[in-house]
Amino acid sequence: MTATLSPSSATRTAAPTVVTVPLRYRIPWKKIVLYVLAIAFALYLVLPFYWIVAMSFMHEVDAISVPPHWIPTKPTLENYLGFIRPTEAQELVGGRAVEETPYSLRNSLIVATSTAVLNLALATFAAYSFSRLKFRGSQVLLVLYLLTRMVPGIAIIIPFYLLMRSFGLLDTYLALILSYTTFALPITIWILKDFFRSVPRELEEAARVDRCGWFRTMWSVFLPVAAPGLVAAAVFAFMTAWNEFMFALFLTSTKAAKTIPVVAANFATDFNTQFTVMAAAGVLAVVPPLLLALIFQRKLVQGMAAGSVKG
Amino acid sequence: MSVLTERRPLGDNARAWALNAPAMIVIALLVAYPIGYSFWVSLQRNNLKRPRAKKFIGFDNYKALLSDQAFLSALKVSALFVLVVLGLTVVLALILALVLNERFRGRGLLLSLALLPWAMPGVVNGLMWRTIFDAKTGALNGLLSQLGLIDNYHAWLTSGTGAFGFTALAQVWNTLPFSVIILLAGLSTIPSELYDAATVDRAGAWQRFVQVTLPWLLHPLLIVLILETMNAFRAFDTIYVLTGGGPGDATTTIALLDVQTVLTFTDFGLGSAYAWVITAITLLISVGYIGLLYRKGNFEV
Amino acid sequence: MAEVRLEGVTKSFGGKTAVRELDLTVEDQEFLTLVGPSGCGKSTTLRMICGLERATEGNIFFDGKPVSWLPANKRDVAMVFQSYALYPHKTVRQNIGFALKMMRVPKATIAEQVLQAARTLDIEDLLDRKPRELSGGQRQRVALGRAIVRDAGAYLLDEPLSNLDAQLRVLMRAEIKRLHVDVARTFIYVTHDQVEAMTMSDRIAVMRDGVVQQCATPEEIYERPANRFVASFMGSPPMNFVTGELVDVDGVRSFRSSALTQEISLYDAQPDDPAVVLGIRPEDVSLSPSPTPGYRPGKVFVSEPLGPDVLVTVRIDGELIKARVPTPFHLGHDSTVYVGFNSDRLHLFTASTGTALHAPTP
Repeated sequence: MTATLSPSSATRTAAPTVVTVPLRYRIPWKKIVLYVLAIAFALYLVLPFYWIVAMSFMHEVDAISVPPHWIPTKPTLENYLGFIRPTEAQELVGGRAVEETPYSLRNSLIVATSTAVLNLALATFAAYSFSRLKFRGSQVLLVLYLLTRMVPGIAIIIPFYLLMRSFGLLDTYLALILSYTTFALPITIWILKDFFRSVPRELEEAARVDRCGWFRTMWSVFLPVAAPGLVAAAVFAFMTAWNEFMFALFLTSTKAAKTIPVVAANFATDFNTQFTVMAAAGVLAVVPPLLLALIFQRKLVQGMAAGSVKG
Repeated sequence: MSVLTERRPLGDNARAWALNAPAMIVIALLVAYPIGYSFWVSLQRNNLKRPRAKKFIGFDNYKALLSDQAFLSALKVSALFVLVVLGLTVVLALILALVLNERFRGRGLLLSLALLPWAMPGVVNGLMWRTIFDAKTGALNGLLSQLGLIDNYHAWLTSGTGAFGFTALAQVWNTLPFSVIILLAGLSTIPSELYDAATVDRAGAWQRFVQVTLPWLLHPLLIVLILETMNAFRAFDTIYVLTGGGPGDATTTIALLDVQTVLTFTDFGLGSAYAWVITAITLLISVGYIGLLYRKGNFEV
Repeated sequence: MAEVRLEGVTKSFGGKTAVRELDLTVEDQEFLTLVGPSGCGKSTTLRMICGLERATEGNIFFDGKPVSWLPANKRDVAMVFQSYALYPHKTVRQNIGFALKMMRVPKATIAEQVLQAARTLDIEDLLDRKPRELSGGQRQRVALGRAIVRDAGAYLLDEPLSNLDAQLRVLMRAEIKRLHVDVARTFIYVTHDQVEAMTMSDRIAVMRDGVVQQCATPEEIYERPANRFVASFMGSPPMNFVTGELVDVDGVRSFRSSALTQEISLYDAQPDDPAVVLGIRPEDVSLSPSPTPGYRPGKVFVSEPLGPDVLVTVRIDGELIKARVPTPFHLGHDSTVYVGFNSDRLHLFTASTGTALHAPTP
């Protein structure tokens, strides 16, 4: 479909020569470059992560060996098990990071999922207004939403901290969910508004003629058809919440609410940390969002494409 | 003319604002107030370590920036960082998106792999690369020496340029998927008939790219440029964990400097001013992008 | 059960007026078609009847009850959309039964009625498929099924056949007409295809620029078009028009233009403005290879075989006249042929406004 290379379909015959090369033997340049690039990218993308995964299954002594063992020769689950039942040596490592890791996993899951859900609810309403209704100030409002993302977190973290403290929300899920929702809203609204625009209006009209009120129309007709957009928005919100570090650092203090990035950073600051334990924590930090992205990858791209909805 | 006396339903305007109300309330409470407050603080001499010196000083913080060495150096580092990261990200993301737009065996796998770095929080990314770049036991050293490309293990992050370059690479790896998705989604909407028509018009591969693909990519590219510039200017997590801003201030971007100022030096006034400078710069650049590309395509916000 | 009446209905979008002071009454169980070129306001009118648009001025009545402010989901109408608007995530069965579900009809009844509607439209074996698995014609039937499964007062159809290929269209025309008889309800149909309008309707309302030009039976519209627009729009191939003036030639009322002169014995009124347009339908034009009294010479411009007839375009001194003659027609391009008009079948329109002055008497 794209045009990086010569099409193999256009036959180019040069000035008449004695021997013409049969089509069968023409070198498929396009395919070769394509596969070379694909493999190069694949390696670039996966190798760093592969290394982490491999290390997480090694003993520390193997992980830091020179030259490195690319494949764990003596695989072990001790790093992962250490999160559930830390040995004394492991407990010394990274403060209480090891012990906190499974809790942080749970916290991250709850916070990220809740953020995604809350975001969907708020953004769906707002995006619907941009995609279906013409109203004065719509451009301004849209730009305003985007502008809220222009200010770096560090600037608003202090007032935000004070705000949460005054509500008694420090070290709670709610504080994180609320802040992440505001982070993700501009993007989710954008994604949804673009996608909603591509849903044919006639579907909603048909629903009205079929005796549906507004809420019914949304629930039974509009939203199901807009599913890819909703998925894309939800995944974005989830990722934003999952990966965020600074606010989590400020707003949480115990394992009741600490998220994975915070705990992972703890590993970084302690120089006693074993690489393998860090690696294991890193792998755990990646698995849930990765699974999410993989499961929904097709809907994700579709949803971003403000796609073609056929009906 | 008799008219049924049923109440006329809300006009579009009212309905639209009502729909936006929940989102607006959340944002107003949780974002607008802190933003306003932070701007207010930037206009003060406000340092936790010297609470009694706190007072309103107008734009003095901002004026001081022009002679602030730390700030100017951080600005340079940031500008270079954004340039490198943005350049690499856009080029790589574009190529990868073009590759993924084709049909071939293993495409699904490649797409999954392309999403992988996105699932990694910035701090974990920093940790990962720190391990890989480690001077004594890192995988990069191991790989290069096994391939015979280097004799000894290097300490990649101890030199200013080294630290900068590799941090940029680490950042690119982490933010690639986001741009790839947006570009790939944009590519997938291009109707294939346009390519057919171009082929019939005897357009070569490069021409097809320029005449068919690029115009359709302008919109997604614009989005990618704006978002990635924003992200690159504010990049913190990976750099913090990977180099902490060092060696010296080789990798101290303005975002790093800002955090240091607020957390370590507790100078809120100055820190807020830094943050607002970042905001202003990203705003200007975004407007610049829109202005540049608006003329070349037709856009709806 | 549903007479639909529009009184002084006007619809404006910003600066543009799509429908102007429309007065229209659709009798109960009548099949009325709104026909006209794109942009004439027919779809807008239909949508106002449906409730998807609100009239800027005027009122709409169902059976004498005003419904102007009633939203679409409270009116007793069913609609078939041009793009079918089938719910892509629901099966055919669910698509058809959706409205009944919204009206809280018991499940058993829904199942029964859906089945019946499916049988009527011959889509029984498609009930568990999704719209994307169906062909255009099948989707169209599902859209019809969705409408007829309800016992609505009026059925509104918005160019339902325009996305179908020619053969399917002919088939579906008959089916829809048959459906109308079976269902015995008011059908309001919108199309730009005058053949559909002619073949299917009890009455036709020809629209142009938001105004109804004429509302009458197909026969009336064809035989006695109210103005030149209606005359040119309805009937295929379209009527021939020659501009000229009314004169008296040797005491006999005639039409004269630069190209030809024609006796008009049946029309003797004296309009203020003698500038008129003569209209004659191709089937009322005869051709002869040899000179014939009352015929004038011309040159064959092009001949198009239509099967049982041939459509011959003849050039008479700059005017192009189309004639429909029975097969075979052997004269080649630029041959001389003699053209005669059936004087009983002449139409006259004023040159200035296009209003009909004279039409063939029945």
